This record gives sequence, structure tokens and C-alpha cells, in this order.
Amino acid sequence: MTWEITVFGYVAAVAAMLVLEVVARLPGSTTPTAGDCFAWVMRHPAGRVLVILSWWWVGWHFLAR
Amino acid sequence: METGEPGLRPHRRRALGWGLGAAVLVAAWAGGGRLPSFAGLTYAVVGVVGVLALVAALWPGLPRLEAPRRLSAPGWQVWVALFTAFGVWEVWALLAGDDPAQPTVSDLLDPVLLSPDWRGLFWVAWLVVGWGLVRR
Repeated sequence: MTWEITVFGYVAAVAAMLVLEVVARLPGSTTPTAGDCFAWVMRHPAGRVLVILSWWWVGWHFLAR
Repeated sequence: METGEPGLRPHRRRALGWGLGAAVLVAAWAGGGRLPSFAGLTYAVVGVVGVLALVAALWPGLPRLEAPRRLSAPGWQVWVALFTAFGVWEVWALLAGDDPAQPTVSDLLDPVLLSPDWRGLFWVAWLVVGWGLVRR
């Protein structure tokens, strides 16, 4: 495993998410956006807390520490 | 004061909301980017933002964007697969320890976030995403 392959893995995953988001926003698309998926999870109070805490942890991890 | 023009007050309220949001983001970029790591003030600010977001997300009666009743397949499975792949890749790098050939996302972002400008942009992105989630 090299540094380049590891970084490529991250970039490929993020790029695929961006492509999927664009596809989901095309007119007539039935693919849900990332926001739709999170909204679906957040319909339940436990999912709501989990999503918000996950978001908060990202801020804590990268900004506070 | 009532002006007799229906729609004016929501319009002004929306403009005020956008103005306030823009002010918060500018402050986050300028101020947040200069908050030091591992400092009490930074812990407090991030903690307060988190508590406010959690309260706003759970507060009953706040207007929300409509959630889809169901998600179409295979779209949501692709999202789950991509997030899982990213997570597995990250955990694999984490388990590799200090191997420089397998950096974690933190290893890659920490040097970037030393710059106040990039750190400020991360603050802005974090708050925008948080606002998007709280409205759901």
C-alpha cells in the first residue's frame, strides 16, 4: 500500500459521492440526494440525534482539537 | 408596524435571516479560523454550537423541510455503499497506525487546517452543513 493509493481511495469515494449528488439533482431523477437520505434517517428522533452528533463530532475533531 | 401590504413582513424576515446567516458565516471564517486548537475557548465555542444545533434539531414546532416518505432503490444503497467504503478505508488507515503510506483523513487535513484561511473555510462548511441538517 502506498500513500498515493490510500489518498486515491479517499478521493475516489468523495468524487463518486459528488457525481451521485449531481445525478440525483438532474430533472426527473429518482435517485435520492444525500440530503434526502439524511432527512429520511432523521424522521426518527434517534436518527435525528445520531446525525446531529456525527456532524458535531466532525467539528470537534477537526476544529477544536 | 402594519403596512397593509401582505407578504412584506415575511419578505423582510427572510432578508433578515439571510443577512444574519451571512454575518455568522463571515464571523466564522474570520474568527473561527483564528481559534487555536486544544484551547478552552475553542472547546467552548464548538460545544455551544453543538448544543444549539441539537436543541434546534429536536425542538418541536420549528419549521422543517419535508422528509421523503421512502427512498427509491438502488439510489440509497449506493449512498450507503459509498459512505461505508469511505469509512472502511479510513478505519483501515487508522489500524495501520503511524504508517506514513496509509494516512487517515485527519493526517491529510491537519496540515491544511493549520492555515487560518482554510480553517475558516472549514468552519463555514461545517456550519452550512449543520444548518442544512437542522432544517431537516
